Amino acid sequence: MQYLLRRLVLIIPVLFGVSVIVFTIMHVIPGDPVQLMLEGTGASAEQKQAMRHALGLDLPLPVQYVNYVSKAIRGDFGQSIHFKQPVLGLILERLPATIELTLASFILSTAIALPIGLLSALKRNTFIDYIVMTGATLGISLPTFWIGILLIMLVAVNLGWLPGFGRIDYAVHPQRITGFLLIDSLLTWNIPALKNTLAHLALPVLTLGIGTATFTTRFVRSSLLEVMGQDFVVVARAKGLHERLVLARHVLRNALIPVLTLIGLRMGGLLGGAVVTETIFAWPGMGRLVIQAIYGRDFVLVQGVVLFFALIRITINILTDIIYVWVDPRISHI
Amino acid sequence: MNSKRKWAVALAAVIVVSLLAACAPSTPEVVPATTVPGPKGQIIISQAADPNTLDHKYLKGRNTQNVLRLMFDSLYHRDNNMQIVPWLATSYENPDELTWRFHLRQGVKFHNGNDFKANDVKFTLGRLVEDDSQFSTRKYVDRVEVVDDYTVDIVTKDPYAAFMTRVVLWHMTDEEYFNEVGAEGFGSKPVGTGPFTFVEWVKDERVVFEANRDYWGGSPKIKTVIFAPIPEAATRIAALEAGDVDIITTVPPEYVDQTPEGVEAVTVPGTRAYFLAMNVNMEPFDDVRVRQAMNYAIDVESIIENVLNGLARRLDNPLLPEAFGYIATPVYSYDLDKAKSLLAEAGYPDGFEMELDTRPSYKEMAEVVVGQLSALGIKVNVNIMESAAFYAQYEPGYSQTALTSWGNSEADADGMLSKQFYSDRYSCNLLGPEGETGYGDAARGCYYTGYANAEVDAAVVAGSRDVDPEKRKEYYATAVKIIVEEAPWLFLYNPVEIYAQRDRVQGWVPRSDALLILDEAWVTD
Repeated sequence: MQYLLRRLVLIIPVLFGVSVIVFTIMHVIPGDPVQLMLEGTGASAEQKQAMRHALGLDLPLPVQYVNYVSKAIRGDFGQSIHFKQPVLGLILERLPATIELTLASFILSTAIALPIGLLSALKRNTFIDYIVMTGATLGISLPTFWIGILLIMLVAVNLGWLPGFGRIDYAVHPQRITGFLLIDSLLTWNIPALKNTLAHLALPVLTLGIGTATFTTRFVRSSLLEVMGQDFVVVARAKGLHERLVLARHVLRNALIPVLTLIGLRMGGLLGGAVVTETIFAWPGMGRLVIQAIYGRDFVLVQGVVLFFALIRITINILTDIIYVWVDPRISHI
Repeated sequence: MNSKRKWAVALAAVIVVSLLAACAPSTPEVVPATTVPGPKGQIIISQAADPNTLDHKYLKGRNTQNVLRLMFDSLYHRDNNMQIVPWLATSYENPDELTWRFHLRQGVKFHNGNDFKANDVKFTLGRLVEDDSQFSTRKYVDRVEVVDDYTVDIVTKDPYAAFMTRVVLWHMTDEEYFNEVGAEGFGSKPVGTGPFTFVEWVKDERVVFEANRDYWGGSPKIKTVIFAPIPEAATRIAALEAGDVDIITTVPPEYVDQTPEGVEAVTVPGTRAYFLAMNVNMEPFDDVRVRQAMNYAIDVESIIENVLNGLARRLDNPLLPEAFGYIATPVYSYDLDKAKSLLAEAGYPDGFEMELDTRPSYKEMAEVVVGQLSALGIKVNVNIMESAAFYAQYEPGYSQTALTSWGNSEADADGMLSKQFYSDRYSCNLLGPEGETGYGDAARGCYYTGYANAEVDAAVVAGSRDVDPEKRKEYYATAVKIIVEEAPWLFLYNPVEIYAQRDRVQGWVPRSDALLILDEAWVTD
């Protein structure tokens, strides 16, 4: 409990560090946001100066930073330059879409990786193992955007099996309660909407999940092989324990710890991958938002989104640490 | 409970609509849509991005413009041939050179039933001149005076001949509604007078519109219009081919020859001029002979044919043929010998080394230009920068040369010349005394190429002030000829706008100003 509290308190300096870095980068890279905002409007130098003043951009950087943080603490992340709306609202509107996509990819990739990795380890150096490992190497090497576009061309256009873009069809719109369409369609028991949402999720989830799935498969395999060679496994077998019990109680449990660490880290990687996947599949999430913000030099929005990404990653790390304790009682942080 | 409520709402809506229909005064100007069947079908349009706002004061870019145009009307409108025609105003006159008096169409209603009147014009412009507006209106509009309910005077600060090219951009908003719901309410549920009414906006997913059956110009033929943004061009094409969307914008040129059955690519000359800007204050480009030699050294025709698949027109001067004030001028046709002798005259017989600044999307073109200039012994260092960094370099006049483009969607010489070749552009004062040249680095040109010519200035000013079209044409002819002769640009080309559509879409044509107008469009199934 104390450990958890300590971890929670540690979030603050981490977020602080992230905010300083993002703030500095956005302000020192070339390109004047006011110039971009007023491009083509024929605004005079005085009007630009007035705009700079109104946005507080004429203040020294440290002062600007303090202003930003003091407002952010109160939940005011400023107004987006491009969208002319509060940043927090823009993020919260798109957060469910991103979480739905990354979580689904995470579940899919784990569900694929654990059994296949296990199978591959058990059948080491057999034909099955070679196939799995070749597939895994391919999966890691193929770039996300390439897989995405290929899937769209093949499955959505040529075969016409699944939709190739968006989150749901216009014709079926479930009442939006939580913003998570899967949950909303279940809550309102809207089966067509549920089916439609799942169909739309399929290709982007596969695209985003494939890299993680293959990566995790390889890791599960090697982690299992390592543990299987350990003395205590030999002892367990020598005791005459059933092979299934040896695997479940001794091998899996021990092999899972490093796998968990990896999965936690990959979850963060999925968030990063979502930026590309969301753009390819026109998925209305935060990844696409941050791309629009970067192109528009909307530094206020970029700061907000990056802080949110950081917050999510920290949360995942803490969750991973908690799960450790649960999986392996020997690990105790108290 | 839920469905009961829905029924109640639907019933109430039916009652209200029928009551309204019964009470509506007959407006003789609006032709009843008896010959046209009611609006039907649905059309889905996919652009690269969602609108940045639904409040037109903050409107940025054509993606937003296209969405807003469905809901809003302007006082005058550009038809598909880019001619400016009466719209919410039926006529205008100039009582004096500063005043533009508009006579408004009567019987026009906003989607909420409010009448469109002169106070709404005043209100709309009042918002557009505010400091945080995306419009340049504040630069030239001094004030708006309501003469009576259907007459309004817009008074400019200076005489402004190209004023009507601005009028077509202002989307009229309902003062009463705006004051009732506030800026935020208006932005989330906008109300206009346009052919389509707003239904919903799900961010980055879709903006939905329904036909406005009571539209003053007659009901549109399509019942539902949906804008579904798809950022990635390959996905946009896939969605079109899969039949999920009906029209896509910003199509890559290589797709034009690859459309499958049922899909058609359509093109129209755009309004963007591509050029290589040369800073006339930096060596060796301070010598006009070098600038001319550059123009002779590039084989633009072959670039268009081989690099751009023929999907562009050659520029003879900065103006495009559609623009008011355009005249044909002699072209710098590809002539290496001439280029060499000009360079030799200027003292660079073996060429020189130069910096070329540009953005990632111009990379391929930059490579072509570099290759062709090498024939003159010119060594080009290409600096490819991210957009914002590029503008930070090029705009204040720090670029020795820059490969870039400029849009002239106002289709009037004033827009192009006053922003690119007028010495007093953007509060610069290039011909002013030393040290008082304004923005940017005075020594390096203060803006873009740093080009300044007193004769061009005089012509641009005269052309912007004189409301007599014939005289304006003469002024611009003078200016354009000088600019071509002095060549601060290497004139390149004007690419087409490319769209692709499914063949079920009828009655829609692409426009050179890239605006999507669906008033006359319909779908076959």
